[in-house]
Amino acid sequence: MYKYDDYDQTLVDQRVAQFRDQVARRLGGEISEDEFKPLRLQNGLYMQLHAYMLRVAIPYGLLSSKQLRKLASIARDYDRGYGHFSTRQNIQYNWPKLQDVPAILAELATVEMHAIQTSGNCIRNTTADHLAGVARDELEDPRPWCELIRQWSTFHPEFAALPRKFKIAVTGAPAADRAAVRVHDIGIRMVPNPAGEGPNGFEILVGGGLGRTPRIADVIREFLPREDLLSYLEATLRVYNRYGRRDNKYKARIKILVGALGPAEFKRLVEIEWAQTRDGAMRLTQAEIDRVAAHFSDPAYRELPSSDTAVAALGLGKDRVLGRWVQANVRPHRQPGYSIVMISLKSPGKPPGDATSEQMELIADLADRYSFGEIVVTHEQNLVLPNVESAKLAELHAKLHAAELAEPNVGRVTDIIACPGLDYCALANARSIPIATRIGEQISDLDYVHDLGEISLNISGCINACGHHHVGNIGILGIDKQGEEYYQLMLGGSADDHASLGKILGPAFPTETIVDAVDKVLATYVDGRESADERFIDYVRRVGLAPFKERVYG
Amino acid sequence: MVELLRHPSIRRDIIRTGRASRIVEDDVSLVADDAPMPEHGRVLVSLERAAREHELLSARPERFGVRVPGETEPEAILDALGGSLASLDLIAIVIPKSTDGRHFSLARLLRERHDFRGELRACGDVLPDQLFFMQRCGYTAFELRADKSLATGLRALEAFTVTYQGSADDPRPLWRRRG
Amino acid sequence: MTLSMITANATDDGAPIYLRADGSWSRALSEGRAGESEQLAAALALAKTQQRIVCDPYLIDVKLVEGRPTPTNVRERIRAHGPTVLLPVARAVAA
Repeated sequence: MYKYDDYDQTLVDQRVAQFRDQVARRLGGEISEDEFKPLRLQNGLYMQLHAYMLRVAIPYGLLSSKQLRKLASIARDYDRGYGHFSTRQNIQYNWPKLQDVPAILAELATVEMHAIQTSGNCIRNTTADHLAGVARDELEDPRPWCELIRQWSTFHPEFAALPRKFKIAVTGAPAADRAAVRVHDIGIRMVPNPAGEGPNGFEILVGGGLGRTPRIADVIREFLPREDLLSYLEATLRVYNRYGRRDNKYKARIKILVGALGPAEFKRLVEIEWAQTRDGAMRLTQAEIDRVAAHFSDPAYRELPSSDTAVAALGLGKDRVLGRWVQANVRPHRQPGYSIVMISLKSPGKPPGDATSEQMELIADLADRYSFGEIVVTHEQNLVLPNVESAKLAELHAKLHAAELAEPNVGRVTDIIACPGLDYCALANARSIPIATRIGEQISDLDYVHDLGEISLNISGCINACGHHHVGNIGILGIDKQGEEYYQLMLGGSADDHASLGKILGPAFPTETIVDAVDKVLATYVDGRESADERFIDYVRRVGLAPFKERVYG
Repeated sequence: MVELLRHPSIRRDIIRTGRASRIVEDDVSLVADDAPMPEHGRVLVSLERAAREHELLSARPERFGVRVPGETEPEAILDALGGSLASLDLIAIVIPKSTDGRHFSLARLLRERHDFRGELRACGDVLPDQLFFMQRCGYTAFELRADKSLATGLRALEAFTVTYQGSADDPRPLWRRRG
Repeated sequence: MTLSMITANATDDGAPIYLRADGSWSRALSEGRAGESEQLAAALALAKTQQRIVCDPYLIDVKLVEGRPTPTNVRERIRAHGPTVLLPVARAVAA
């Protein structure tokens, strides 16, 4: 992973000093809350229902064990002993005191971490495929490019006061988008060179997003040579900065601009600007590409034979606890003899995506022991140990199981993605965590969960859609109906290469009946599918909403 | 009866950058559209007045400046002045709200695309904590909002000694400058 | 009948606080002064100037239930009560 040099370290250290000064001026009364607000937001510090909330950046989700230990100790020393992993691969602390935040940022800086630009109307954390670098279906590792984007976007002086927030996602697996690039402000797919030879490049998509006006991004450039990535992004951001709407907060994202101009006109404006800069100093040199890529070279893999058969056997073996976990949580690795291990942070009865300090420290130890000291945070609020020797899977599972970190449900219906909701968030209309925990407790039969197969279930507590409910196979949106919490149910969303937005099934449900409604949706699928091999999303696409409406409302 | 004409501008302190950034007394007079033009001194006028009185203004020994809203397109300034910025020694950009970042692009384009060499001044809702970014985008002078501390502004200009990306101050990204 | 109460978030730790009749702030909603919104206008204006202690004061609607003030909407009820989900420490203690 990327290691800071003196320049990178100096930048975060100076940022800490700057924020320390700003906090002192706030606490000393020199600046008002109104003026302090944009400053604290640019350091990821929100005001929520019960306390401040600090969002710490985890660039493209990648953590070293040392960093994860530091996140654990911050939770212990400055917070209430836990953190929440978010749908943009960041971590959130829910209870920091304002005067402690400079100290927290200083501690983060000692392990090359920060909270820069995790909020505010600026370029946010660039997210990536959580299997970057190790997936079999990957064309090329996107992480060096994510790091280049991170550096280009950090403290970019021209884009510090954009019309609204800006989110970029990158996938290196063009046929298997695990980064939801089609619902980001800019989505980037690594693609092969159309000449059939030569370096891979990028497909650039713009104008995707969720929230009040969900939209799938448009392709504005089918092939961008790799060295032009930064100049093209800069041209795109400049067009947005100049022409994005600033009159209405709910119409200020780039998706509104692209929708209004149409993708062809938007592309025209970008490329007029780009023509002026593409031959300039932003054109990446091979030296810089190599310098950054060198930080992402392979760990010291052992030469091992393929383990596909052995892993499959484990999955079907007599030990069903281990077997279910292998089938749900283990993914094939491109290096023979290795596996990718997913750690589910979705246990029945527990808030999705939360981890205690103890759990984080254990996972850091396991990463050191089994995964070359690296961990990845997924945008679905789980963790990954990316480089585990398949021969060690059973041993690792035993340790995870003893710590209650082996719930075998990754990618299954109880792998619920949920925003913090009205329990924490000042923007929410309804609670999401209790719905998630009730669903997890109700659908507790592991064989049933396994039989249901691949299903994404996303819950958002309000239309801002931080739970990404529009792209859940099952999406739940909390709404306020006459001061009470109600839940809209939608089906058929998907964030992958066939991205689609879910459709509302019918009238919203009160808290008392939403979980039963989800049960009925699942029963409809089980009863109606062609076979256990027909995935839930494929069934929904085949039959539409009618059978579900009948079962749920009939 | 002799009327004493007073310049409508307020003689305030501003920050000017250079080899060392300093607080200086503003030496420029803002002249309203309907006010008489002072005979001497540096003046700042609206774009409309500059377009109307371009020849007159260009004839002044001190040259002149224009004051434009932050969302102005650089081409609008050029069009008003006959296609060139050469007669100007000052462009003052009025920032309506600190959250409206359009002026950052305007400043960079004036410097990098249109090669403006004179003073680029930020005025309006200018807060000390934004000066560092403004300087990087090409601003060389700052009229802070009246209630804001100039001393804090000077400090804010020194916030960072490292920058990642190229901008008006240096077009080279860090990786082209690394030792 | 619906009354109002002044609330804000404490500058130092962001906790919800409620204005008492004597002008001091409490972390317990039950101690807040419930009154007509016009009666509270001056106190609200004063609160807005106390940035060192409070952030963004505003009025909430409350009703009296058995003499005790209760927010009329679910957001303010949760804000006053705390998260309705068990935090890990509480969970560990309960277990």
